[in-house]
Amino acid sequence: MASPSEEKYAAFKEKVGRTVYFDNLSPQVTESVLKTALEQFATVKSIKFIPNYVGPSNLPQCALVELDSAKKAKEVILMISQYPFMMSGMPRPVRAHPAKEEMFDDRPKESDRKIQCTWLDPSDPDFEVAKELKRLTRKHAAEIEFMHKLQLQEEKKLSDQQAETLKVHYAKFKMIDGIMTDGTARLLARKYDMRIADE
Amino acid sequence: MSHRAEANGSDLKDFKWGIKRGVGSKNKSTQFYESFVYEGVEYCLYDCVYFYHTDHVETSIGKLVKIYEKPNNEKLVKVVWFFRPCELRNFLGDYQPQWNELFLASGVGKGVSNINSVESIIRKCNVVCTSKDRRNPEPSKAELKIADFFFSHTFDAGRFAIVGEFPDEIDAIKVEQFFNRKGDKTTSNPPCVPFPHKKRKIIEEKLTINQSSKSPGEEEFDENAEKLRQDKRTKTSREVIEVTERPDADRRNWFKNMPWDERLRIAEESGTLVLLNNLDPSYTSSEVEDLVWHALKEKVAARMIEWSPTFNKHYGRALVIFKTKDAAESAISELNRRCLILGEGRVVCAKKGTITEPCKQSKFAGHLVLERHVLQKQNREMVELTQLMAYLFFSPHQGSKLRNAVSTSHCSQQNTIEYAMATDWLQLYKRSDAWWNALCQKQEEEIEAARSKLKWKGIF
Repeated sequence: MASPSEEKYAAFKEKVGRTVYFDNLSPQVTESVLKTALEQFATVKSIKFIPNYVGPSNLPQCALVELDSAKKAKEVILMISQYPFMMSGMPRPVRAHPAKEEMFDDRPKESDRKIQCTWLDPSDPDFEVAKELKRLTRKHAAEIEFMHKLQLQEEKKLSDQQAETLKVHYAKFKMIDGIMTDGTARLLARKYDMRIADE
Repeated sequence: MSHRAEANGSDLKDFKWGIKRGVGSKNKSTQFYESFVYEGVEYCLYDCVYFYHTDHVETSIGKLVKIYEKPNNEKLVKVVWFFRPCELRNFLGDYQPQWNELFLASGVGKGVSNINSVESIIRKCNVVCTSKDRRNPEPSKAELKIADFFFSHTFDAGRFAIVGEFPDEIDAIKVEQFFNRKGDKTTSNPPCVPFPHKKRKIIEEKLTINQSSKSPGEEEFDENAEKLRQDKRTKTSREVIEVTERPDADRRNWFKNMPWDERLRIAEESGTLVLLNNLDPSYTSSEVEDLVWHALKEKVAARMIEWSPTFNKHYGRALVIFKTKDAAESAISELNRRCLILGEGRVVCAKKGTITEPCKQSKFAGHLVLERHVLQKQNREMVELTQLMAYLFFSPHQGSKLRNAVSTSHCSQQNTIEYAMATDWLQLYKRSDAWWNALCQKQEEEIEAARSKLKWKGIF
């Protein structure tokens, strides 16, 4: 017989299986944008944006989207990994992953888990190692922070590069548009005895 | 009385008795004094001093209430102790001590006072009483500033409780002697000599007196509050804390209605927010609350930070809201000074919590179309650019029809520039995954290497 807390945990695990984690979302993306975007594939049961309390302020948004079945969740993830999927802008696509339990701040407790802890005083033989572990935690947190910075830089770089490419395309487009409207194209066509379509 | 080790009396160097006070009532050859000079410093009755401990870096602080010499030349002092907050952490309840706060022992019970050798004195300590008791001369601002510690409450060692009112007598000494002295100069500015660590250990017998008559209550007190100081026979003072549900667990849903955003921001402003790192990522928020309750005796509201693929999954973090700023600060300093170690050798790290300002930027790296909204109004060219983008990003045949679709969600089609650019992004995502994996792996190895150095494994 399952206890109420076990049942609650099992229900939560089932929900995790149906949930898709989206990241690289633009700050413009809202709940309704996500809902509309995904309703073409599956029924959206709930949407939760994960707040960014401690990360760098310009990180893309992340969200958990609960769908109606685990099968649908898999399909959506597969589809988004195969075709770049745009939400509220382009050409940077969103990304979808299966959700994990640790992505829910309000997850229930695993019923039979025991937590133990102890204080080490400076006189303890392990105190120095413990301090070393603390130092390591701080170092790693700094490394992660730096990695976020690098990642944002890389993203900015690609974005700038693409903006440049787009400008070049625009210049070409303008030139073509220009020779079409001022009659140059027609003139040349007549000269070389070529036919050009009007539309 | 005491059955302490012998041969610590006569051979003391650099020691001189001061004014005589009288002889013992029971044993006439015991000589009482008002003061003595030891290592160049004059110590008087009712001075506060640091005592040295073997096994503990932390010193003990006490007040000299009797100074005497036994017939065998043993030089002894009777000391009424001050407790440090960490020694009383199981009895603090709602009381939020400050980092430099002490509690004067009172009542009848173990640990109020005992007898020590003069040798275990390190130096004077400046302790000021800030009690509003009318018998207590109010300390000046300057006095408070130079004080090493202050106390405003006593700890009743019989009742195991922190008490705001002072009794008339503590250990048969008039309470006035524990308050600040009027116009007192002797306690201020003690010479700052570095702690000599060659000192003899002290108070071996401090608690062995009356051991036979220990009541269960005393037993518990002994373990929790006095362990740090007295119990030399136990090698370490490790005490494994089983984290169970906090007593008022069902009440903590009370203010759930207020959104976290708001609570965290208020907490950040009032300085009650702490970020805990290196928790087990599988902990739930309520388990973190239980943990803080058991380890620090603080009732807090905790919120686990969700794990994301751009973070090391080894590290679980939580934002914790304390009731007061002092509680938050003392929690941080306590976690820094000592080490709270969890199962599988995690050592909890704490720092002041700050919340990332929500950044509602209009620009998102990689979304070129967004510029349209900004520039459209003033610049006709930009409108053309938008048309161009619609044209370029969708296949030419659909161009005009989908012009309005730029901001809606869609899968991109293979014969567009959008698709080519999106592929660049997917590549960047792959690279990002690779560098995060590499970083996590490296960090994992470093953690493993450090953990393998722990001498003590598997107490849990």
